Amino acid sequence: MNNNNSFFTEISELLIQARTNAFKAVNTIMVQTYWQIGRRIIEEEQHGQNRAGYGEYLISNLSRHLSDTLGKGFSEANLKNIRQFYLTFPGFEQFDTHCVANLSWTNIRLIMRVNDPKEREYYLKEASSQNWSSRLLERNIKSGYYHRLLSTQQPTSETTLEKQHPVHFIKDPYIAEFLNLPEDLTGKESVLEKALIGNLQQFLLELGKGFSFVDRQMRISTETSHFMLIWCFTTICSNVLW
Amino acid sequence: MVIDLKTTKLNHADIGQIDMYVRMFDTLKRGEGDNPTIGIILCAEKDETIVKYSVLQENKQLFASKYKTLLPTEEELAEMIATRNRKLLDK
Repeated sequence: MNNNNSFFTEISELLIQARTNAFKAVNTIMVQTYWQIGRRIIEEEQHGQNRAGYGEYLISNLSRHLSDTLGKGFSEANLKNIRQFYLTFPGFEQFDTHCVANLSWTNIRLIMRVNDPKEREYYLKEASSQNWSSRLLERNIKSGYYHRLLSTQQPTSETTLEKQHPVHFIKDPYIAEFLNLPEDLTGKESVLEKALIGNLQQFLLELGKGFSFVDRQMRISTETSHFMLIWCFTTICSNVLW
Repeated sequence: MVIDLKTTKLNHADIGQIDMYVRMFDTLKRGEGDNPTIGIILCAEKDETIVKYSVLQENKQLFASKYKTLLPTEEELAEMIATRNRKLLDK
């Protein structure tokens, strides 16, 4: 029976892996196609640029045509997003690399709305390499994840050029809205600690990549301290991750 | 990484304490091949003057960051970015 169980698990895993791969492949092709459509829309607009309102007219007619022939998913709003996709990322190689090929269209749309190119670049890489869900990505952009990094708050220096330096992942401030705690916690370290432990996964995501939890209140005894609230996290020891 | 929680304003004692924790951890617990231990004080409030004239200024392993339990509003976020840009320009 046991042998059977591991056999079943193995087959299930194969199928799950296959589904994931298929999903990624479909996604990559879709994103690539959207980019091509975006480029074609822009080219077409440039041909007709002398005519007033040609762009609007083009998008609305294209939307009608596609909806009639291919069904849902081609609203004017979406076509405008596709157009914007090409304008924001005129080089497709940005998506072609192994790094960001797994970004969903929803995630790309969220990142497109970010104005600063460096910030966009950051979210592309992080969302892709850390497999952020759309919800998490949206939350992170909203909470200024990138701007809260110490490295973006300092002028470029030797420190910021050093790729593995802590300034690239330590933030100020940290935001923990997921704890649902009031603003003022004076004297309630234990409440804060409990809440953080209770929402550890989200806290680790807020801390950023490469952290794993080792031990709650790992105590290092000294003669005077009776209550030490220390947590230990280790950064996974790999250069690639940073 | 050692995290110390302070629900009050950052003070000198906190900084001394985390400095000690990190040193102890580095000596007693850190394995070979691990990166140097990092210490972060998560505090409710901090005074930039204290930060500037303390070991936090020089030490590459110690940090003090504020925590917030509410998401920033768009205005706060804009303000944060503006402050950051001003700081960058000053330097």
